[in-house]
Amino acid sequence: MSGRPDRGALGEQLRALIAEFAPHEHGVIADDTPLISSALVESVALLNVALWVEEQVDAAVEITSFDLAAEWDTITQILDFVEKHRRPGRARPLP
Amino acid sequence: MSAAYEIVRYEPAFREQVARLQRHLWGGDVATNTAYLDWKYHRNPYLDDPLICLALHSGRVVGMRGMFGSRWEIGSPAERIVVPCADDFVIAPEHRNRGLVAQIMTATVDAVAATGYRYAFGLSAGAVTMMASLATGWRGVGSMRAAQRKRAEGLLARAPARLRTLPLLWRYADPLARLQYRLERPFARLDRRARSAAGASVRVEPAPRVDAMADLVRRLGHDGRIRHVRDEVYLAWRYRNPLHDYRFLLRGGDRLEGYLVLRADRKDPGRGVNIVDWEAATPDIREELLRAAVDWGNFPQLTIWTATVPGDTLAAVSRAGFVPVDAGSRMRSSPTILVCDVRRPKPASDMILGGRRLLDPASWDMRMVYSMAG
Repeated sequence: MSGRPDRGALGEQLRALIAEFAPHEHGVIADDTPLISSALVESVALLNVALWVEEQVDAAVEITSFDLAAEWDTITQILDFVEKHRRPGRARPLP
Repeated sequence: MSAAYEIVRYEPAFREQVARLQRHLWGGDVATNTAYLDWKYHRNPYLDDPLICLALHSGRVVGMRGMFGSRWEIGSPAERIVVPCADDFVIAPEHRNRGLVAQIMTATVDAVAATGYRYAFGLSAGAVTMMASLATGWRGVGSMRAAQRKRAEGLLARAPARLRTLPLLWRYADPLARLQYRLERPFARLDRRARSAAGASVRVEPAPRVDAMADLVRRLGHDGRIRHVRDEVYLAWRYRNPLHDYRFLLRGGDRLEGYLVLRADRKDPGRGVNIVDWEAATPDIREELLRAAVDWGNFPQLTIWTATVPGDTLAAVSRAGFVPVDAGSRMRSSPTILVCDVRRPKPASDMILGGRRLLDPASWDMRMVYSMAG
């Protein structure tokens, strides 16, 4: 057994993290709510999301090596990224 | 309720408000901030008018994103191209998390496009600005691979940086830093040791030898990679940055054989000293300059960017005791080049300037002095 939180639990963590920094009038954040393209998540919030992703994948993420706005625009996409890249062992640059 | 913001271009009438807003980024002293604004934007040698976008709320300046002028040379023979460089992004704390970031970022890029430029660079972004930039269409070139040489430092040296992160106490960070600067002038030991080093071939001066340094850069030639023009105009302007102090380690007379430039941050000496530019006719001279900086200065923290340092020089950097800055998180620790194609709609193809691919780290010959870390 891995002891890792499942996708549903990760999604709730991420939703709470985003809600903390989101504009007050954001409403419900669904799995497919545009985050970056709608400016719901920006600057400090996005930095916190990136650090959260690094924590989940247990590795440094080379954030400039992909199109952030295209690949992390929804909670579903971010969770997909985490599932694709997380692995046990030592940290190393991703992707 | 959504706050109403208006994004406008900077005019001199906003000068004082900008200097006050920038207490959240540049430092707490409005007079110093005004001097910095004047130097960087009003006296910039490459853009006649400040290219700054401001966010207004009820007529007050609550956000800023600037583009200062820079001039690059690319290829051989070199083509010289002016490129606006993004910097100084700040939003007043009470207006954060309201969707203003994307508005002001986009408006600034649009202003660059309207001025007729194709690309903008970002060379000084901190972690938050880097994320905001990537979210609004900027692309990263890669880490500048900072390396540091450290000696143990005292509590006083670390205190201003720590205070800046604390509620209420942040306002004491700058006064403490200024007091610390007077007590522990970063270059005091370097100056003293250089004066007492009789017969040394390296000397230390507090001002740039503009003509001789530009002449050396010209004599050493250019391999065609993208680099900032370092001529007399640039050097005379660049080292007047009112937020920083510099020392110039020189070897040779009017006809220089090498130079190394050190920078200290006036408002936060705890950030340590940076090697911001370094040129020499031979690898031996280059290492001699480095050894003088390291041995005479004995700085608590000395930082250099190594991404585009030549292989033979990299060995000298390592021999002098520099180690890579911990990259535990790429977001926190890695200065990088950001580039943006400002045209709308954005093309899908690669970004090319002067025949060089902007997203290829090998296209660049970067020095810290090109960024405002220098």
